[in-house]
Amino acid sequence: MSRVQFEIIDEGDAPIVKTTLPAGQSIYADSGAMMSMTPGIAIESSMRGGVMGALSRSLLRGETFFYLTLTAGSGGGEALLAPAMMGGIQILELTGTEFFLQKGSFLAAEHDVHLSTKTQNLTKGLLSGEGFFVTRVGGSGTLIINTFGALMRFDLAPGEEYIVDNHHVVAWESTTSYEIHKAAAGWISSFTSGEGFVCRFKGPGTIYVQTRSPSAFAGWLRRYLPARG
Amino acid sequence: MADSFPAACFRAAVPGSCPCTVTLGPTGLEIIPVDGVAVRWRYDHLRCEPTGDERAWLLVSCTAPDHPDVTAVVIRAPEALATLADRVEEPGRSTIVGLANGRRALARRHWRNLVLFAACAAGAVVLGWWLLTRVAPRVAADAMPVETERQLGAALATAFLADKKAIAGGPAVDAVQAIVDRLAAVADTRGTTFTVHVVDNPQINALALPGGQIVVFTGLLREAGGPEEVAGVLAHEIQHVLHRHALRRLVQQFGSATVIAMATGGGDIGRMAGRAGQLVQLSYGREQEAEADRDGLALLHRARLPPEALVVFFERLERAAPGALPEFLSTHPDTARRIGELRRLAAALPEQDPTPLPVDWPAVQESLEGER
Repeated sequence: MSRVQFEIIDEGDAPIVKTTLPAGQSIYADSGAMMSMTPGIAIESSMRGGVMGALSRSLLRGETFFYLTLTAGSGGGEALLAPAMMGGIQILELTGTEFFLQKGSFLAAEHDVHLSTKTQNLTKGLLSGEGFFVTRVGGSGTLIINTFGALMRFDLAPGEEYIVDNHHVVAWESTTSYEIHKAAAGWISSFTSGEGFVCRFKGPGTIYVQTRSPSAFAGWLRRYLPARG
Repeated sequence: MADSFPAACFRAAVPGSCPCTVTLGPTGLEIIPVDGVAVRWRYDHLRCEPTGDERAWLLVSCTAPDHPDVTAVVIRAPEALATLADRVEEPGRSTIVGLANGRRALARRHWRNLVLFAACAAGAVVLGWWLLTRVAPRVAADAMPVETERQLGAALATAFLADKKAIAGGPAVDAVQAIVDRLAAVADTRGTTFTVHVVDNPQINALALPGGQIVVFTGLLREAGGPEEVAGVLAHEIQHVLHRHALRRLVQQFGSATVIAMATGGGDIGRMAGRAGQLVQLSYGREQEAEADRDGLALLHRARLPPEALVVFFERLERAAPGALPEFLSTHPDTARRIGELRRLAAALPEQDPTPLPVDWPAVQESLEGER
């Protein structure tokens, strides 16, 4: 049986994903992600994991309660998926390891890709910028993630280390480990430099980094919003 | 006999991890990447260490590889780890056993964290509810200027008395005014002045509206054995006013938006006055009643009136309505328990000779007969 094909089109500031579904094949996607499609595709909503799974997803990970399921009829079909955020899209093939995603990064996946909740310890929950709960992605197949700004990939060899600002982390492979550190040697320099805390990753594995920080953008935008009242 | 397991490997020529199959043979393991060359590593050349954010993977590398393509392999399948632990020497064996134990601890930590989060979330909800219903009304009520409270009370009193027969003057009104004047003279009023209304109504009742509006029903005056007993009830009601209990109750009822408007002196007094009739149906909380009881007794004592007069009146009520609601069904403490507490508090006050109120009580009672 032929597989679902994903292709990123219009790469630039506002890319989208073209999904080609063979007959009878289906994918699930973030609620509201469908931009356009051929008539041969049926849309359904699903909770995946039941009510508890949906509650866990929406309350702990800040994702949508329902997923969008797209299923091709006997003639197959094509759908274009658009993320909510302005930014890059990455197609990930799961190779037997797992990935951890920051909130709001999931766009779509094949059905054999499973999403669940991973709890982080107190230090990482408070300081990593990801919160106490992140999305664990396992299983097999293709996963589509989206980011704020463009996306960069870093492949770390065993034992290799790399430092990323905590607000720029998008996803990291489960074979990598990371620790929270202050950005500079001293506390004052860490905060006056504007970096605060950083994530120090250690390979082997792949990490994905977004080229813009949502919190920094929100801070910039706030200066131009009219005061209430 | 050989065992094969799916795993992931890292290769010099390919970025990222690649799926592979690991076969555990009698003397070493064979790694077969899906699209690469198979490599063989001897068990005595293996270096094992845990890796990953959860330290759930075993990172295996070779100190003497026969081919440079594969640099490391990561294994997580429990069966593969168990087999490998039997075939590698120390310290690799201990590393693998420790990894398995760590994974069990990780699963326990996951559920512990979820329970902890649920407990914290429930605690935050309870704290929020407490702040919203208990602390916020108190803060907002305390922030209201005295003049705004007076205006609010006057509007509420007008609305409340609109469908009732208020007694304009005479011995009953004079008596209640004299009692209130005696009590107010020694109370910490902080600018609050008291206005007395006597309503011709058989209910044994009195109530305090915000801003010092005191309403006494003739039923209470008929039931009381003397002006000191009425003073006991009014000392209690005056404390409700001074502690702004009724004001807080209004704040709770009208919501946070009105709370803020009221705190800045811009509340919709007319809308509140329209619902003034509900005030008599709403009851104070137990803590507020206990506070008014305790401070009411102290006020009676400062006014050189007998504190036990309030107790006597409650006992009279108990005789009149012996089937009072049990405490758990009412925000008021049940009468018998309340009488016991009042007696204890009254006995704790220093003894003094009371100064009688200048009220001709038989004349008051007689004037009420004329109102029938």
